[in-house]
Amino acid sequence: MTELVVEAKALSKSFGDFQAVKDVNFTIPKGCIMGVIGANGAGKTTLLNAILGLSSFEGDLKVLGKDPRRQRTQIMDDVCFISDVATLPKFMRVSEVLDYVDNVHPHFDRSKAEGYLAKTNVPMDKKVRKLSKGMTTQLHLAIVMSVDAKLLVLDEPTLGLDILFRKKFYQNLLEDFFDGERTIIVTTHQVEEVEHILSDVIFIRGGEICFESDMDSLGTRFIELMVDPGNEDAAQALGPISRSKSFGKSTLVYQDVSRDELAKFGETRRLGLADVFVAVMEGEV
Amino acid sequence: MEALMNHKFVALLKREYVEHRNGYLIIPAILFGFALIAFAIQLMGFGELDFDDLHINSSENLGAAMKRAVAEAPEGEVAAGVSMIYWSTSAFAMIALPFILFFSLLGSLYEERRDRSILFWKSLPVSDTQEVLAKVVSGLVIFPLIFTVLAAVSQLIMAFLVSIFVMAQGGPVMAMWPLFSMIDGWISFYLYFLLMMAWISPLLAWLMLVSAYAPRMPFVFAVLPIAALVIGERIFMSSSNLIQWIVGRFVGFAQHLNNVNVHGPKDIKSIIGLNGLPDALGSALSSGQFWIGLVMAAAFLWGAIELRRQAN
Repeated sequence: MTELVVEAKALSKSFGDFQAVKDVNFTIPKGCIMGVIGANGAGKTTLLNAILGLSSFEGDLKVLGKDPRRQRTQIMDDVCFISDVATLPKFMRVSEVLDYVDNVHPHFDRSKAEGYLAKTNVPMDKKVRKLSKGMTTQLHLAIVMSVDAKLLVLDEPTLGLDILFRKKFYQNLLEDFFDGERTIIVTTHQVEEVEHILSDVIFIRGGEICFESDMDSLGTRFIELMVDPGNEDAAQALGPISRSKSFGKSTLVYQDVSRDELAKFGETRRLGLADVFVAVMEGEV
Repeated sequence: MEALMNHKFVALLKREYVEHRNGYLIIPAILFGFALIAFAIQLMGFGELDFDDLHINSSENLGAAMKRAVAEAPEGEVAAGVSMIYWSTSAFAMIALPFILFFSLLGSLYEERRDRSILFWKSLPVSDTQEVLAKVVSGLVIFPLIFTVLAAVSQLIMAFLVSIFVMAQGGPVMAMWPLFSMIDGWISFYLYFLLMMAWISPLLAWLMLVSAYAPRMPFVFAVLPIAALVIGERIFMSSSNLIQWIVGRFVGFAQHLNNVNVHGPKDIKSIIGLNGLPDALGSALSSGQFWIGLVMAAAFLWGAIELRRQAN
Protein backbone atom coordinates (compact mmCIF):
# COMPACT_ATOMS: atom_id res chain seq x y z
CA MET A 1 0.00 0.00 0.00
CA THR A 2 1.29 3.44 -0.93
CA GLU A 3 2.11 5.84 1.86
CA LEU A 4 -0.30 8.79 1.91
CA VAL A 5 1.11 12.25 2.43
CA VAL A 6 -2.26 13.97 2.56
CA GLU A 7 -5.50 12.28 3.45
CA ALA A 8 -8.75 14.31 3.47
CA LYS A 9 -12.16 12.99 4.40
CA ALA A 10 -15.28 15.16 4.25
CA LEU A 11 -13.14 18.27 4.38
CA SER A 12 -15.14 21.52 4.49
CA LYS A 13 -14.40 25.14 5.20
CA SER A 14 -16.91 27.99 5.47
CA PHE A 15 -16.47 31.73 5.78
CA GLY A 16 -19.78 32.81 7.29
CA ASP A 17 -22.46 31.69 4.85
CA PHE A 18 -19.97 31.07 2.07
CA GLN A 19 -18.75 27.50 1.78
CA ALA A 20 -15.31 27.71 0.19
CA VAL A 21 -14.57 23.98 0.34
CA LYS A 22 -17.48 21.53 0.23
CA ASP A 23 -17.16 18.09 1.73
CA VAL A 24 -14.08 17.14 -0.24
CA ASN A 25 -12.39 13.71 -0.21
CA PHE A 26 -8.97 13.09 -1.68
CA THR A 27 -5.61 11.53 -1.02
CA ILE A 28 -2.16 12.51 -2.19
CA PRO A 29 0.25 9.56 -2.22
CA LYS A 30 3.95 9.89 -1.54
CA GLY A 31 6.09 10.61 -4.57
CA CYS A 32 3.57 12.38 -6.75
CA ILE A 33 3.58 15.86 -8.20
CA MET A 34 0.01 17.00 -7.89
CA GLY A 35 -1.31 19.92 -9.85
CA VAL A 36 -4.32 21.68 -8.35
CA ILE A 37 -6.05 23.61 -11.10
CA GLY A 38 -9.03 25.92 -10.75
CA ALA A 39 -10.27 29.40 -11.51
CA ASN A 40 -9.72 32.25 -9.06
CA GLY A 41 -11.96 31.80 -6.03
CA ALA A 42 -12.46 28.08 -6.73
CA GLY A 43 -11.10 27.21 -3.28
CA LYS A 44 -7.50 26.25 -4.12
CA THR A 45 -5.84 28.47 -1.56
CA THR A 46 -8.45 27.60 1.08
CA LEU A 47 -7.68 23.94 0.53
CA LEU A 48 -3.94 24.52 0.75
CA ASN A 49 -4.34 26.66 3.88
CA ALA A 50 -6.14 23.79 5.58
CA ILE A 51 -3.34 21.39 4.62
CA LEU A 52 -0.71 23.81 5.93
CA GLY A 53 -2.45 24.38 9.27
CA LEU A 54 -3.10 28.03 8.45
CA SER A 55 -6.83 27.89 8.97
CA SER A 56 -9.49 25.93 10.77
CA PHE A 57 -11.73 23.45 8.91
CA GLU A 58 -14.35 20.79 9.46
CA GLY A 59 -13.84 17.16 8.66
CA ASP A 60 -10.83 14.91 8.85
CA LEU A 61 -7.45 15.88 7.46
CA LYS A 62 -4.08 14.27 8.01
CA VAL A 63 -0.80 15.62 6.66
CA LEU A 64 2.11 13.21 7.09
CA GLY A 65 -0.11 11.49 9.62
CA LYS A 66 -0.57 14.64 11.73
CA ASP A 67 -3.46 17.02 12.37
CA PRO A 68 -2.65 20.44 10.85
CA ARG A 69 -4.98 22.20 13.29
CA ARG A 70 -2.95 21.26 16.35
CA GLN A 71 0.39 20.09 14.99
CA ARG A 72 1.42 22.78 12.51
CA THR A 73 4.81 23.20 14.17
CA GLN A 74 5.71 19.51 13.85
CA ILE A 75 4.33 19.34 10.31
CA MET A 76 6.51 22.28 9.26
CA ASP A 77 9.62 20.27 10.13
CA ASP A 78 8.87 18.29 6.97
CA VAL A 79 6.70 20.59 4.88
CA CYS A 80 7.72 23.70 2.95
CA PHE A 81 5.43 26.14 1.28
CA ILE A 82 5.34 29.30 -0.77
CA SER A 83 2.05 31.12 -0.84
CA ASP A 84 0.87 33.19 -3.74
CA VAL A 85 1.95 36.56 -2.32
CA ALA A 86 5.40 37.85 -1.52
CA THR A 87 5.73 37.23 2.20
CA LEU A 88 9.40 37.54 3.09
CA PRO A 89 10.01 39.99 5.96
CA LYS A 90 10.92 43.35 4.42
CA PHE A 91 12.97 44.56 7.38
CA MET A 92 15.57 41.78 7.13
CA ARG A 93 18.67 41.61 4.98
CA VAL A 94 18.96 38.60 2.70
CA SER A 95 21.71 37.14 4.89
CA GLU A 96 19.59 37.71 8.01
CA VAL A 97 16.70 35.80 6.46
CA LEU A 98 19.07 32.88 5.78
CA ASP A 99 20.46 33.13 9.35
CA TYR A 100 16.97 32.99 10.78
CA VAL A 101 15.78 30.01 8.73
CA ASP A 102 19.07 28.26 9.47
CA ASN A 103 18.48 28.74 13.20
CA VAL A 104 14.86 27.63 13.39
CA HIS A 105 14.69 24.92 10.71
CA PRO A 106 16.30 21.56 11.48
CA HIS A 107 16.35 20.51 7.80
CA PHE A 108 17.65 23.69 6.16
CA ASP A 109 20.90 23.53 4.18
CA ARG A 110 22.29 27.05 4.16
CA SER A 111 25.15 26.38 1.77
CA LYS A 112 22.69 24.96 -0.74
CA ALA A 113 20.59 28.14 -0.57
CA GLU A 114 23.71 30.28 -0.97
CA GLY A 115 24.61 28.17 -4.00
CA TYR A 116 21.27 28.88 -5.64
CA LEU A 117 21.52 32.58 -4.84
CA ALA A 118 25.03 32.79 -6.25
CA LYS A 119 23.51 32.01 -9.64
CA THR A 120 21.10 34.95 -9.34
CA ASN A 121 21.53 38.70 -8.93
CA VAL A 122 20.13 38.68 -5.39
CA PRO A 123 22.59 40.62 -3.18
CA MET A 124 23.19 39.12 0.30
CA ASP A 125 23.57 42.46 2.09
CA LYS A 126 20.43 44.18 0.76
CA LYS A 127 17.21 44.35 2.70
CA VAL A 128 14.28 42.39 1.29
CA ARG A 129 12.46 45.75 1.03
CA LYS A 130 15.01 46.82 -1.61
CA LEU A 131 14.71 43.71 -3.78
CA SER A 132 12.61 43.59 -6.92
CA LYS A 133 9.62 41.29 -6.91
CA GLY A 134 11.47 38.81 -9.06
CA MET A 135 14.47 38.78 -6.70
CA THR A 136 12.23 38.32 -3.65
CA THR A 137 10.66 35.29 -5.30
CA GLN A 138 14.08 33.93 -6.25
CA LEU A 139 15.20 34.25 -2.63
CA HIS A 140 12.08 32.52 -1.37
CA LEU A 141 12.44 29.70 -3.88
CA ALA A 142 16.13 29.29 -2.98
CA ILE A 143 15.14 28.87 0.68
CA VAL A 144 12.36 26.42 -0.05
CA MET A 145 14.52 24.32 -2.36
CA SER A 146 17.19 24.09 0.32
CA VAL A 147 14.95 22.52 2.93
CA ASP A 148 15.00 18.76 3.05
CA ALA A 149 11.21 18.49 3.09
CA LYS A 150 8.90 15.57 2.51
CA LEU A 151 6.15 17.77 1.09
CA LEU A 152 6.52 20.98 -0.86
CA VAL A 153 3.46 23.14 -1.45
CA LEU A 154 3.73 25.82 -4.13
CA ASP A 155 0.86 28.26 -4.55
CA GLU A 156 1.54 30.23 -7.75
CA PRO A 157 5.29 30.01 -7.11
CA THR A 158 6.53 31.79 -10.22
CA LEU A 159 4.13 34.72 -10.26
CA GLY A 160 5.94 37.82 -11.48
CA LEU A 161 9.02 36.00 -12.76
CA ASP A 162 10.25 36.17 -16.32
CA ILE A 163 9.98 33.15 -18.53
CA LEU A 164 13.67 32.21 -18.39
CA PHE A 165 13.68 31.98 -14.62
CA ARG A 166 10.35 30.13 -14.58
CA LYS A 167 11.74 27.47 -16.89
CA LYS A 168 14.92 27.19 -14.82
CA PHE A 169 12.94 26.92 -11.61
CA TYR A 170 10.84 23.99 -12.75
CA GLN A 171 13.92 22.35 -14.16
CA ASN A 172 15.71 22.73 -10.80
CA LEU A 173 12.65 21.46 -9.04
CA LEU A 174 12.78 18.24 -11.01
CA GLU A 175 16.54 17.82 -11.00
CA ASP A 176 17.50 18.89 -7.49
CA PHE A 177 14.44 18.58 -5.36
CA PHE A 178 12.20 15.87 -6.66
CA ASP A 179 13.58 12.40 -6.10
CA GLY A 180 10.49 10.20 -6.08
CA GLU A 181 10.52 10.14 -2.26
CA ARG A 182 9.23 13.65 -2.02
CA THR A 183 5.81 15.00 -2.82
CA ILE A 184 4.90 18.30 -4.44
CA ILE A 185 1.56 20.10 -4.62
CA VAL A 186 1.48 22.99 -7.05
CA THR A 187 -1.17 25.47 -8.12
CA THR A 188 -0.63 27.84 -11.01
CA HIS A 189 -2.35 29.72 -13.79
CA GLN A 190 0.49 28.93 -16.16
CA VAL A 191 -0.79 25.42 -16.72
CA GLU A 192 1.41 24.83 -19.79
CA GLU A 193 4.53 25.33 -17.69
CA VAL A 194 3.80 22.65 -15.13
CA GLU A 195 2.05 20.22 -17.44
CA HIS A 196 5.17 18.21 -18.24
CA ILE A 197 6.27 17.84 -14.60
CA LEU A 198 2.94 16.81 -13.07
CA SER A 199 2.15 13.20 -12.29
CA ASP A 200 -1.43 13.82 -11.15
CA VAL A 201 -4.00 16.56 -11.43
CA ILE A 202 -7.09 17.76 -9.58
CA PHE A 203 -9.57 20.30 -10.95
CA ILE A 204 -11.47 22.39 -8.44
CA ARG A 205 -14.62 24.36 -9.03
CA GLY A 206 -16.91 26.01 -6.48
CA GLY A 207 -15.11 24.34 -3.59
CA GLU A 208 -15.52 20.86 -5.02
CA ILE A 209 -13.14 18.51 -6.77
CA CYS A 210 -14.80 18.10 -10.15
CA PHE A 211 -12.12 15.99 -11.79
CA GLU A 212 -9.04 13.99 -10.85
CA SER A 213 -6.72 11.91 -12.94
CA ASP A 214 -3.12 10.86 -13.35
CA MET A 215 -1.36 12.59 -16.22
CA ASP A 216 -0.54 9.38 -18.12
CA SER A 217 -4.13 8.44 -18.70
CA LEU A 218 -5.15 12.03 -19.39
CA GLY A 219 -3.77 11.72 -22.94
CA THR A 220 -5.84 8.68 -23.72
CA ARG A 221 -8.97 9.82 -21.94
CA PHE A 222 -9.31 13.18 -23.66
CA ILE A 223 -9.13 13.37 -27.43
CA GLU A 224 -9.86 16.25 -29.77
CA LEU A 225 -11.39 15.47 -33.13
CA MET A 226 -11.33 17.80 -36.12
CA VAL A 227 -14.34 16.44 -37.97
CA ASP A 228 -14.07 15.88 -41.71
CA PRO A 229 -16.91 17.53 -43.66
CA GLY A 230 -19.97 15.27 -43.83
CA ASN A 231 -19.21 13.37 -40.60
CA GLU A 232 -20.63 15.97 -38.21
CA ASP A 233 -23.78 14.07 -37.26
CA ALA A 234 -21.99 10.76 -36.71
CA ALA A 235 -19.35 12.51 -34.61
CA GLN A 236 -21.99 14.33 -32.59
CA ALA A 237 -23.69 11.01 -31.85
CA LEU A 238 -20.59 9.84 -29.90
CA GLY A 239 -21.31 12.49 -27.24
CA PRO A 240 -18.54 15.12 -27.21
CA ILE A 241 -18.10 17.08 -23.99
CA SER A 242 -17.38 20.32 -25.82
CA ARG A 243 -17.44 21.68 -29.31
CA SER A 244 -16.05 24.65 -31.22
CA LYS A 245 -15.34 25.68 -34.81
CA SER A 246 -11.99 26.50 -36.31
CA PHE A 247 -10.84 26.85 -39.92
CA GLY A 248 -14.42 26.02 -40.98
CA LYS A 249 -14.22 22.63 -39.32
CA SER A 250 -16.06 21.45 -36.22
CA THR A 251 -13.68 20.60 -33.38
CA LEU A 252 -15.11 18.23 -30.78
CA VAL A 253 -13.61 17.01 -27.53
CA TYR A 254 -14.40 13.54 -26.20
CA GLN A 255 -13.87 11.96 -22.82
CA ASP A 256 -13.30 8.21 -22.60
CA VAL A 257 -14.05 7.44 -26.24
CA SER A 258 -11.51 5.27 -28.05
CA ARG A 259 -9.16 6.98 -30.45
CA ASP A 260 -9.67 4.31 -33.15
CA GLU A 261 -13.36 4.96 -33.19
CA LEU A 262 -12.90 8.72 -33.46
CA ALA A 263 -10.26 8.43 -36.19
CA LYS A 264 -12.96 7.26 -38.61
CA PHE A 265 -14.52 10.76 -38.62
CA GLY A 266 -11.50 12.98 -38.95
CA GLU A 267 -8.13 13.95 -37.53
CA THR A 268 -7.52 13.22 -33.81
CA ARG A 269 -5.14 14.99 -31.48
CA ARG A 270 -4.29 14.58 -27.79
CA LEU A 271 -5.26 17.53 -25.66
CA GLY A 272 -3.02 19.72 -23.56
CA LEU A 273 -3.85 20.11 -19.86
CA ALA A 274 -5.21 23.62 -20.36
CA ASP A 275 -7.57 22.39 -23.07
CA VAL A 276 -8.69 19.48 -20.91
CA PHE A 277 -9.41 21.91 -18.11
CA VAL A 278 -11.47 24.15 -20.38
CA ALA A 279 -13.30 21.18 -21.89
CA VAL A 280 -14.12 19.68 -18.50
CA MET A 281 -15.32 22.99 -17.11
CA GLU A 282 -17.45 23.70 -20.16
CA GLY A 283 -18.67 20.14 -20.36
CA GLU A 284 -20.07 20.29 -16.90
CA VAL A 285 -22.04 23.47 -17.37
CA MET B 1 14.78 19.00 22.19
CA GLU B 2 15.00 21.51 25.01
CA ALA B 3 18.26 22.85 23.61
CA LEU B 4 16.74 23.19 20.17
CA MET B 5 13.79 25.09 21.61
CA ASN B 6 16.16 27.51 23.31
CA HIS B 7 18.15 27.82 20.12
CA LYS B 8 14.98 28.72 18.25
CA PHE B 9 13.97 31.20 20.92
CA VAL B 10 17.30 33.02 20.67
CA ALA B 11 16.83 33.19 16.88
CA LEU B 12 13.37 34.68 17.44
CA LEU B 13 14.77 37.28 19.83
CA LYS B 14 17.45 38.20 17.28
CA ARG B 15 14.77 38.63 14.63
CA GLU B 16 12.73 40.86 16.96
CA TYR B 17 15.83 42.94 17.57
CA VAL B 18 16.46 43.31 13.83
CA GLU B 19 12.85 44.35 13.30
CA HIS B 20 12.85 46.87 16.15
CA ARG B 21 16.44 48.08 15.94
CA ASN B 22 15.28 51.65 15.30
CA GLY B 23 12.96 51.80 18.31
CA TYR B 24 15.02 49.72 20.69
CA LEU B 25 18.48 51.08 19.91
CA ILE B 26 18.83 53.90 17.38
CA ILE B 27 16.18 56.33 18.63
CA PRO B 28 17.09 55.98 22.34
CA ALA B 29 20.80 56.27 21.45
CA ILE B 30 20.13 59.51 19.57
CA LEU B 31 18.12 60.88 22.49
CA PHE B 32 20.84 59.96 24.97
CA GLY B 33 23.28 61.68 22.60
CA PHE B 34 21.17 64.86 22.54
CA ALA B 35 21.06 64.96 26.32
CA LEU B 36 24.84 64.54 26.49
CA ILE B 37 25.37 67.37 24.02
CA ALA B 38 22.99 69.59 25.97
CA PHE B 39 24.90 68.76 29.11
CA ALA B 40 28.27 69.47 27.50
CA ILE B 41 27.02 72.88 26.41
CA GLN B 42 25.93 73.62 29.97
CA LEU B 43 29.37 72.59 31.20
CA MET B 44 30.97 75.04 28.81
CA GLY B 45 29.20 77.78 30.69
CA PHE B 46 26.19 78.44 28.52
CA GLY B 47 23.78 77.35 31.21
CA GLU B 48 23.50 76.51 34.83
CA LEU B 49 23.72 73.39 36.93
CA ASP B 50 21.37 72.30 39.65
CA PHE B 51 23.00 69.91 42.12
CA ASP B 52 19.89 69.62 44.28
CA ASP B 53 20.61 71.91 47.25
CA LEU B 54 23.78 73.19 45.62
CA HIS B 55 22.77 75.59 42.88
CA ILE B 56 25.54 76.64 40.57
CA ASN B 57 24.81 79.41 38.13
CA SER B 58 27.79 78.87 35.94
CA SER B 59 30.03 75.87 35.81
CA GLU B 60 33.12 78.04 36.14
CA ASN B 61 33.04 77.25 39.82
CA LEU B 62 32.02 73.56 39.52
CA GLY B 63 35.36 72.36 40.84
CA ALA B 64 35.14 74.66 43.84
CA ALA B 65 31.52 73.72 44.50
CA MET B 66 32.36 70.01 44.45
CA LYS B 67 35.24 70.58 46.83
CA ARG B 68 32.86 72.33 49.25
CA ALA B 69 30.25 69.58 48.84
CA VAL B 70 32.72 66.80 49.60
CA ALA B 71 33.95 68.68 52.68
CA GLU B 72 30.58 69.70 54.10
CA ALA B 73 27.95 67.14 53.01
CA PRO B 74 27.28 64.13 55.24
CA GLU B 75 28.84 60.76 54.41
CA GLY B 76 27.46 59.24 51.19
CA GLU B 77 25.34 62.24 50.19
CA VAL B 78 27.71 63.41 47.45
CA ALA B 79 28.06 59.96 45.90
CA ALA B 80 24.28 59.50 45.90
CA GLY B 81 23.68 62.99 44.54
CA VAL B 82 26.29 62.78 41.78
CA SER B 83 25.10 59.37 40.58
CA MET B 84 21.52 60.64 40.50
CA ILE B 85 22.43 63.75 38.57
CA TYR B 86 24.00 61.54 35.92
CA TRP B 87 20.54 60.13 35.21
CA SER B 88 19.73 63.50 33.63
CA THR B 89 21.27 62.07 30.41
CA SER B 90 18.18 59.85 30.28
CA ALA B 91 15.71 62.74 30.32
CA PHE B 92 14.78 62.71 26.63
CA ALA B 93 15.04 58.96 26.13
CA MET B 94 12.89 58.32 29.18
CA ILE B 95 10.06 60.34 27.61
CA ALA B 96 10.28 58.29 24.42
CA LEU B 97 10.49 54.92 26.17
CA PRO B 98 6.77 54.38 26.94
CA PHE B 99 5.81 55.43 23.41
CA ILE B 100 8.31 53.05 21.82
CA LEU B 101 7.08 50.22 24.02
CA PHE B 102 3.41 51.03 23.39
CA PHE B 103 3.70 51.09 19.61
CA SER B 104 6.05 48.12 19.32
CA LEU B 105 3.64 45.93 21.29
CA LEU B 106 0.64 47.27 19.43
CA GLY B 107 2.28 46.46 16.09
CA SER B 108 3.85 43.18 17.19
CA LEU B 109 1.14 40.85 15.86
CA TYR B 110 -0.52 43.34 13.51
CA GLU B 111 2.30 44.27 11.11
CA GLU B 112 3.04 40.64 10.19
CA ARG B 113 -0.60 40.21 9.18
CA ARG B 114 -0.68 43.51 7.30
CA ASP B 115 2.40 42.77 5.18
CA ARG B 116 1.55 39.03 4.95
CA SER B 117 4.95 38.01 6.31
CA ILE B 118 2.99 35.88 8.79
CA LEU B 119 2.71 33.33 5.97
CA PHE B 120 6.48 33.09 5.86
CA TRP B 121 6.82 32.80 9.65
CA LYS B 122 4.18 30.11 9.65
CA SER B 123 5.95 28.14 6.94
CA LEU B 124 8.69 27.46 9.49
CA PRO B 125 8.56 25.02 12.40
CA VAL B 126 8.05 27.66 15.10
CA SER B 127 4.94 27.51 17.28
CA ASP B 128 2.57 30.42 17.78
CA THR B 129 3.29 30.27 21.51
CA GLN B 130 7.02 30.71 20.91
CA GLU B 131 6.40 33.56 18.49
CA VAL B 132 4.16 35.49 20.88
CA LEU B 133 6.40 34.88 23.89
CA ALA B 134 9.44 36.04 21.91
CA LYS B 135 7.64 39.31 21.21
CA VAL B 136 6.76 39.70 24.90
CA VAL B 137 10.31 38.99 26.05
CA SER B 138 11.90 41.27 23.47
CA GLY B 139 9.62 44.19 24.38
CA LEU B 140 9.54 43.80 28.16
CA VAL B 141 12.93 42.27 28.97
CA ILE B 142 15.41 42.91 26.13
CA PHE B 143 14.38 46.47 25.24
CA PRO B 144 14.66 47.72 28.86
CA LEU B 145 18.03 45.97 29.08
CA ILE B 146 19.31 47.79 25.98
CA PHE B 147 17.90 51.01 27.39
CA THR B 148 19.70 50.47 30.71
CA VAL B 149 23.00 49.76 28.95
CA LEU B 150 22.59 52.95 26.90
CA ALA B 151 21.86 54.88 30.10
CA ALA B 152 24.98 53.43 31.72
CA VAL B 153 27.19 54.29 28.74
CA SER B 154 25.82 57.84 28.57
CA GLN B 155 26.47 58.27 32.29
CA LEU B 156 30.06 57.11 31.94
CA ILE B 157 30.59 59.62 29.13
CA MET B 158 28.99 62.32 31.25
CA ALA B 159 31.20 61.43 34.23
CA PHE B 160 34.21 61.67 31.96
CA LEU B 161 33.20 65.12 30.67
CA VAL B 162 32.52 66.39 34.17
CA SER B 163 35.84 65.00 35.38
CA ILE B 164 37.73 67.03 32.79
CA PHE B 165 36.04 70.22 33.98
CA VAL B 166 36.44 69.46 37.65
CA MET B 167 40.08 68.59 37.11
CA ALA B 168 40.69 71.81 35.21
CA GLN B 169 39.09 73.73 38.05
CA GLY B 170 41.12 71.90 40.67
CA GLY B 171 38.15 70.03 42.17
CA PRO B 172 37.91 66.48 43.58
CA VAL B 173 37.86 64.29 40.42
CA MET B 174 37.34 61.08 42.34
CA ALA B 175 34.07 62.43 43.75
CA MET B 176 32.74 62.51 40.19
CA TRP B 177 33.08 58.70 39.95
CA PRO B 178 30.77 57.19 42.58
CA LEU B 179 30.97 53.89 40.68
CA PHE B 180 29.37 51.75 43.35
CA SER B 181 26.39 54.06 43.55
CA MET B 182 26.19 54.31 39.74
CA ILE B 183 26.20 50.54 39.22
CA ASP B 184 23.64 50.14 41.98
CA GLY B 185 21.52 52.66 40.09
CA TRP B 186 21.75 50.83 36.76
CA ILE B 187 20.88 47.43 38.17
CA SER B 188 18.07 48.74 40.32
CA PHE B 189 16.66 50.81 37.42
CA TYR B 190 16.43 47.65 35.33
CA LEU B 191 14.93 45.54 38.08
CA TYR B 192 12.40 48.25 39.04
CA PHE B 193 11.52 48.53 35.40
CA LEU B 194 10.80 44.79 35.22
CA LEU B 195 8.70 45.04 38.38
CA MET B 196 6.79 47.95 36.88
CA MET B 197 6.22 45.93 33.68
CA ALA B 198 4.79 43.15 35.83
CA TRP B 199 2.40 45.63 37.45
CA ILE B 200 1.30 47.03 34.09
CA SER B 201 1.30 43.58 32.44
CA PRO B 202 -2.50 43.32 31.97
CA LEU B 203 -2.45 46.55 29.95
CA LEU B 204 0.60 45.46 27.94
CA ALA B 205 -0.92 42.05 27.22
CA TRP B 206 -4.13 43.83 26.19
CA LEU B 207 -2.11 45.68 23.55
CA MET B 208 -0.85 42.35 22.19
CA LEU B 209 -4.35 40.86 22.17
CA VAL B 210 -5.58 43.84 20.15
CA SER B 211 -2.52 43.54 17.92
CA ALA B 212 -3.48 39.95 17.14
CA TYR B 213 -7.14 40.83 16.62
CA ALA B 214 -7.51 44.28 15.02
CA PRO B 215 -8.38 44.06 11.31
CA ARG B 216 -6.95 47.58 10.93
CA MET B 217 -6.05 50.64 13.04
CA PRO B 218 -4.92 48.75 16.15
CA PHE B 219 -4.49 52.03 18.04
CA VAL B 220 -8.21 52.74 17.77
CA PHE B 221 -9.10 49.17 18.72
CA ALA B 222 -6.83 49.35 21.75
CA VAL B 223 -7.81 52.74 23.12
CA LEU B 224 -11.41 53.33 22.05
CA PRO B 225 -13.12 50.45 23.93
CA ILE B 226 -11.33 51.35 27.16
CA ALA B 227 -12.10 55.06 26.74
CA ALA B 228 -15.75 54.18 26.05
CA LEU B 229 -15.92 52.02 29.17
CA VAL B 230 -14.33 54.71 31.34
CA ILE B 231 -16.72 57.37 30.04
CA GLY B 232 -19.70 55.02 30.19
CA GLU B 233 -18.93 54.13 33.79
CA ARG B 234 -18.68 57.83 34.64
CA ILE B 235 -22.02 58.68 32.98
CA PHE B 236 -24.17 55.70 33.92
CA MET B 237 -22.72 54.64 37.26
CA SER B 238 -21.15 57.92 38.35
CA SER B 239 -18.07 56.00 39.36
CA SER B 240 -14.52 55.77 38.06
CA ASN B 241 -13.33 52.34 39.12
CA LEU B 242 -11.82 51.39 35.79
CA ILE B 243 -9.66 54.47 35.40
CA GLN B 244 -8.59 54.20 39.03
CA TRP B 245 -7.67 50.58 38.43
CA ILE B 246 -5.62 51.55 35.37
CA VAL B 247 -3.82 54.32 37.24
CA GLY B 248 -3.25 51.85 40.06
CA ARG B 249 -1.31 49.65 37.65
CA PHE B 250 1.12 52.49 36.92
CA VAL B 251 1.70 53.52 40.53
CA GLY B 252 1.47 49.99 41.92
CA PHE B 253 5.20 49.38 41.99
CA ALA B 254 5.60 52.37 44.31
CA GLN B 255 2.58 51.76 46.54
CA HIS B 256 4.77 50.79 49.52
CA LEU B 257 6.30 54.27 49.49
CA ASN B 258 3.29 56.01 51.04
CA ASN B 259 4.26 57.90 54.20
CA VAL B 260 7.98 57.52 53.66
CA ASN B 261 10.07 60.51 54.78
CA VAL B 262 12.89 61.53 52.51
CA HIS B 263 15.77 63.87 53.30
CA GLY B 264 18.35 64.34 50.58
CA PRO B 265 19.81 62.19 47.80
CA LYS B 266 21.01 59.40 50.08
CA ASP B 267 17.49 58.71 51.35
CA ILE B 268 16.13 58.68 47.82
CA LYS B 269 18.88 56.31 46.75
CA SER B 270 18.06 53.98 49.61
CA ILE B 271 14.49 53.76 48.35
CA ILE B 272 15.00 53.53 44.62
CA GLY B 273 18.32 51.69 44.85
CA LEU B 274 18.84 47.98 45.31
CA ASN B 275 18.28 48.39 49.06
CA GLY B 276 14.67 49.34 48.45
CA LEU B 277 13.97 46.51 46.04
CA PRO B 278 13.00 43.81 48.58
CA ASP B 279 10.31 46.12 49.97
CA ALA B 280 8.93 46.87 46.50
CA LEU B 281 8.95 43.21 45.57
CA GLY B 282 7.39 42.13 48.87
CA SER B 283 4.71 44.74 48.49
CA ALA B 284 3.89 43.43 45.01
CA LEU B 285 3.89 39.75 45.93
CA SER B 286 1.61 40.37 48.91
CA SER B 287 -0.82 42.42 46.83
CA GLY B 288 -3.92 40.66 45.48
CA GLN B 289 -4.16 43.31 42.75
CA PHE B 290 -0.68 42.40 41.52
CA TRP B 291 -1.60 38.72 41.14
CA ILE B 292 -4.97 39.49 39.55
CA GLY B 293 -3.10 41.60 37.02
CA LEU B 294 -0.72 38.75 36.19
CA VAL B 295 -3.62 36.33 35.71
CA MET B 296 -5.36 38.83 33.41
CA ALA B 297 -2.14 39.27 31.44
CA ALA B 298 -1.81 35.51 31.04
CA ALA B 299 -5.40 35.28 29.79
CA PHE B 300 -4.87 38.08 27.25
CA LEU B 301 -1.65 36.47 26.03
CA TRP B 302 -3.38 33.12 25.69
CA GLY B 303 -6.00 34.88 23.56
CA ALA B 304 -3.30 36.49 21.42
CA ILE B 305 -1.66 33.08 20.85
CA GLU B 306 -4.99 31.50 19.87
CA LEU B 307 -5.78 34.37 17.49
CA ARG B 308 -2.39 34.01 15.86
CA ARG B 309 -2.94 30.29 15.48
CA GLN B 310 -6.05 31.07 13.41
CA ALA B 311 -4.53 33.93 11.43
CA ASN B 312 -3.35 33.56 7.85
